[in-house]
Amino acid sequence: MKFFQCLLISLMVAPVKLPALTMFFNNGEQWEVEDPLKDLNHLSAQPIQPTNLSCINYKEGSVVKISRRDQYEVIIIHKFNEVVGLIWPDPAQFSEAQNYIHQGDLNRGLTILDAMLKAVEPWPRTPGSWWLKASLLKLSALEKLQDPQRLERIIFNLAKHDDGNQPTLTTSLSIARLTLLNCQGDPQASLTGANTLLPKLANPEDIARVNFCQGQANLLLKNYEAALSFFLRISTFQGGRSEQYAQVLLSIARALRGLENPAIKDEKIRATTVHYLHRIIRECPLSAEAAIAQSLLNPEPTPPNPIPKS
Amino acid sequence: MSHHPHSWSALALIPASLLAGTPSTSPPTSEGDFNALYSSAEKALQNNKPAEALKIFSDLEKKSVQTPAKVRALFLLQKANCYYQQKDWKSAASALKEFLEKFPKGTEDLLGTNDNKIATCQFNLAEVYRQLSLWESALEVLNHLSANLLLPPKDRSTACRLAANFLQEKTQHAPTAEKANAQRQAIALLKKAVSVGLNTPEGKLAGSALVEAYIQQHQLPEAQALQAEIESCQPTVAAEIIRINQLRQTQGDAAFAEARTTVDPTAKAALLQTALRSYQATLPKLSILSQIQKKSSELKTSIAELTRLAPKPSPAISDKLLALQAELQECTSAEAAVQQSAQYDEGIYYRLGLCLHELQIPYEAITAFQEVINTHPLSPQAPSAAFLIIQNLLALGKNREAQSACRSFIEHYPNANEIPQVVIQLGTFALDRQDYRETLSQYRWVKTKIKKLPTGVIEEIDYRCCFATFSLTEWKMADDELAIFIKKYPRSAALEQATYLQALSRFYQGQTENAQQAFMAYQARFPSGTFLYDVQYRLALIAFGMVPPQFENARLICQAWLRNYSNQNQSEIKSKKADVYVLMGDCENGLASEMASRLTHLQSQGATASETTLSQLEKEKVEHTQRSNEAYLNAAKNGQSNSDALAYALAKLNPTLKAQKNYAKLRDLYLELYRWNKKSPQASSYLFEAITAAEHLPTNSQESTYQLLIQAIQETIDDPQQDGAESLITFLANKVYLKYRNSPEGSAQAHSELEAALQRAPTNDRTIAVARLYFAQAQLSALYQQPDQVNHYYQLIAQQFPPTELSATLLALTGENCLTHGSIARAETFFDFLIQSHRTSEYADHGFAGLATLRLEQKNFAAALVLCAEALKYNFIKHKECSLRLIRGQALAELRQFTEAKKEFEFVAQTKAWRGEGTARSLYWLGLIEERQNHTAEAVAYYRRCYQGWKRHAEWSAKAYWGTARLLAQQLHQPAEASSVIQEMLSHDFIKKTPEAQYAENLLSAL
Repeated sequence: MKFFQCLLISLMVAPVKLPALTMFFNNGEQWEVEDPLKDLNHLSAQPIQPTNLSCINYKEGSVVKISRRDQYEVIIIHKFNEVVGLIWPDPAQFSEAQNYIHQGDLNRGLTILDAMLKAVEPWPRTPGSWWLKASLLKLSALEKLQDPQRLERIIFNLAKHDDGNQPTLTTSLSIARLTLLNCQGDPQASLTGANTLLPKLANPEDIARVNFCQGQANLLLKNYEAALSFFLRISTFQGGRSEQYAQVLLSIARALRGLENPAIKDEKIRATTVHYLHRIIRECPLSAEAAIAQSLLNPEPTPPNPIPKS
Repeated sequence: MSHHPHSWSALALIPASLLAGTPSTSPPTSEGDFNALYSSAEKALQNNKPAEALKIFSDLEKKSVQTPAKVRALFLLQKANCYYQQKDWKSAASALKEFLEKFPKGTEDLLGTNDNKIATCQFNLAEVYRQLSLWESALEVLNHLSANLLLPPKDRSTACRLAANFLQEKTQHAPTAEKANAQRQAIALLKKAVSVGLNTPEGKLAGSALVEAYIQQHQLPEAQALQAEIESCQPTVAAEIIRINQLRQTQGDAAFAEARTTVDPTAKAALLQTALRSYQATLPKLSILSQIQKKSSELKTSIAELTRLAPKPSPAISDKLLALQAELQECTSAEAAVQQSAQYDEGIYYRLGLCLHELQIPYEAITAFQEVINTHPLSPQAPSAAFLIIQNLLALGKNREAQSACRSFIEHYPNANEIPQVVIQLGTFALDRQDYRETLSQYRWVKTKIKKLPTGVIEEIDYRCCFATFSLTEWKMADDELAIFIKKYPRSAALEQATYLQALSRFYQGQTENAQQAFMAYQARFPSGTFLYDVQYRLALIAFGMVPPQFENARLICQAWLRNYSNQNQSEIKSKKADVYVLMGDCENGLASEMASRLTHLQSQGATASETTLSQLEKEKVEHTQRSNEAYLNAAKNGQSNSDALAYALAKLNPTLKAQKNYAKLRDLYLELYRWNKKSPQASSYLFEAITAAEHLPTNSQESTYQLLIQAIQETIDDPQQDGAESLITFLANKVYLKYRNSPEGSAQAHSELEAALQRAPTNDRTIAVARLYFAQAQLSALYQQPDQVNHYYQLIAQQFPPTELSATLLALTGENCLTHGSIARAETFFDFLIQSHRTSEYADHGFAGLATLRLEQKNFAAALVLCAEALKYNFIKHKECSLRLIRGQALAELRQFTEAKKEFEFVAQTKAWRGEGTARSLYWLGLIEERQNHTAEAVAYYRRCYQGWKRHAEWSAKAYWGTARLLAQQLHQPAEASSVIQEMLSHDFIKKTPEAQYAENLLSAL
């Protein structure tokens, strides 16, 4: 009984052990630090004192190392701006957020990303930081959410960090601005912007994202043929490699639907539209667009009403 | 030869200064001489003069007997280098073997503490053995290297990879079994080579080689998996970028080739998808160049930075700089190579298109092939791409675009292999549309464009032109052209058709005898001919059309036809049966008329004909008449696929049976026609006729027909797609209304009966049926002129049924009712759903008109214009074109685009089919437009036209009156005239209730 009591007590007082990240400071030091991304709940609390790892104090803006020698305690503090490099283990939250966003649960994904960004925001440009990846994922999620206010806000905030030395960030912001114009109901300006941006791009994925914006703008302008041609470029040359594949297929279905009219019943447009909806369900079964496609194919019947007396 | 780090070039860079302090007792005696000689030998090697260098090194070797072993080893190694450069493989092999045997410690620490050049020598020996085709010796050396644990892992990896390469090269021309065995051994060696890690240059090289080996062994999943792993490691050199890209394309080609030979559709589709993904992952030229240029830029920056930081570089930094410069040189060469590859992208796009075409994804296939044509119009694959675009357009049913594509193909690729197919296809579009003039025009154009076509194609075109001419009813021209065709192509496969058409063309020219001869010639030449059934019928027609008509002969031919063909099931013969019966009916009619004429003649001549003769004639006349009716009845019953014969037979039977008061037969006939296809558009009209005929019958017969109508409604009432259900319901409502019209409690009784007729069982869960019941009640209330009740029922539909549950008709009518009674949000929902989900319905235009009206009322004129533009552009104008044009005009006027607005209103005003309220509204708005432009006189003129011509449309005539009065009083200062107009306005009771009447009264009191 006593053994179990001791065990219980030892478990209760034992400090919480968290996995480490490696920080490099400008004076050449290299510390193993508690990884805040492993347990985001501890972010706002007081740092737990570990036995051999340093820890981050967000409130003070510093990294603290406490080493004990005999009866003495040596505390070394480095400010956040003294960190020159990071080796940061892959956080599980990033994949989790990616999955939620892909499945259409954007708000949940954004919640996780916001917590992640809080942990990494002191080091936006430090090599090894997760800030850029998390920010770009958040940007991508807000583009999907089509909320112009939040999108405008994040573009504004990210633009402050865009000094031209991070081509990925610069390109992503340019593309996000096109999406914002579409959300704000100015598709013509979005098209003009896209035409200016395209000659500067060489990466096929970036070109595909701009094509997507152009397609959406044309859908808004009800230029269904033009919209279709842009979306088809993505599904042809990128296919499933595009992050927006499910959205592209759904947009193709919408553009085809817009082209339907009594004069061209012979062109099998309705059958082709249904074919694209089935493709979404088959090729992207877990995406939010698959649920939309399912609802478009099989609208749910409402419960029957009792026959009234006239 | 595959490169490896232990290359000869490393030796050539060793400076002579390393030899400083090496003692020698034979001339040249001084260190300076040694160094000078060594330097000159090095220089000779660098200048590609191996013979000169060899002489010096041999000299040095002889003179350096007393020098340390490591120095002599170096001289021997350099000699081997010279032999290698001279491609003197035997001497090189001999020198290298001597090095390894005589100097087991190699060059020791002479050229670096960690490299005694033994491994270098062994690698080079293996290469020399390869050049001498001494495979076993080469493999033995490499195996020894790969097993030497003292060597660094990257060297062992290189040894494994080279051994795999040598094995493959050795068995290149060997029998298949030996080759396969060697391939398997090579794969095992490459797997060992890859174990060093894919993030090292050696590992990547080995990985790439292993992927190629997997592909050759058709192990595609393994190849893909390894490829993905390689790609996840960033390429560090330009060659890798290109190599990885090339691998993707190779993978794609392998998968595509395998798919082509696979029979199982599922496996084939999977392989095609694999190929598609590989091609989609292949970077286009621009992206590769971008990556290489980015790499070059990074290298230049690194070189500049290193040079700046170390102006006098140490040996290590010099090495690093040299390596960077070598890599930069490689990038530049790679960039040049990619720039020069003109057809790089085009190959990828074409392959993409082929995969998509095989996978039957036509829209994307067209996009890929179009990219080939747009970016590389002169490439050898452009004609194929253009042809496949046509195929995919056909698959999509986009015939007009396919036709343009055919024409473009012929213009741009007149010598392509696919020309014959395209040429024939070009005319087929117009032929299928029955646009024969265009068919002729297209084929004539083709003949001017393409001078050399295969004979078979020309024959096909000629026949089609003859057929088109015939179909244009240019009988004479067709006759002549067909004669030419028959003469030119006596063995043509189309000879029978041509002969038949020629006979027909003579028939249609009215050349009775020529036609008869031609038909009989056809019968003789083609006794089992495809068109024999029609030829026989034509001969009967000819007999019927003779002067005088040969009724009996024609009748006999028809009877023979029925004996020969009546049991055959081909659709064209079944269709012809109705025609034959019609002709028989006409013949019997003709014979009856003949009997009647003879009777009349005998009776009028007063000749003494016997009673028997007269009664016989009378009897025959009646028999012929009866047989005629029977024949027409049979014609109608066989007319399901022959609407002309059916219509003719019905036109004959209707008056005849009505005159005979044979309503039962008429009813039965129409019921039979109705039962053919209850869902066809004509079904409801047949049912109406049956019911109308039944009304002349005793009550119990009427009742059964009435029940039939109810049954017909109940069969369609549950199906939202059946638009005809609403038409039947409206007809039923009319019947019920007429039944109870004169009854004192008529309305209540009628409603009860209607409800009872359409009542569903309470457990029935088909909601559309309930909505249609409300619709029926609304229709009945409208007949009883009960607008409140009408509104009540439509409100029930609007409140209880979401748009997804309703048919297009109900959506349109309910939406309009909601709009009229101010339920704007609900109306918008119905109209919106109508145009989203029922775009192909005849009622889709109600949705556009309704939404546009809403936008107009919300003063969102731009949105109204957009809706009208879409409706007019895509032909949503079946019922509501007038409304749409009026709304468009009004929106334009509100946006002060007066010229365009005026055009719309003038168009509506001038269209006779829309005379009525639309005209009144147009005239009023034309006046308003003039008024807004301060053209007072013109405005008054339009207003006058409105109220003078269209007074009964109170809404607009009141506005017009008011406008006139106002302008006369306030602008033209003619108060007397204004008063007169107002008094005239107020003299009409129906105008007095309008708001404008009140304004007018106020103005009148002020004047």
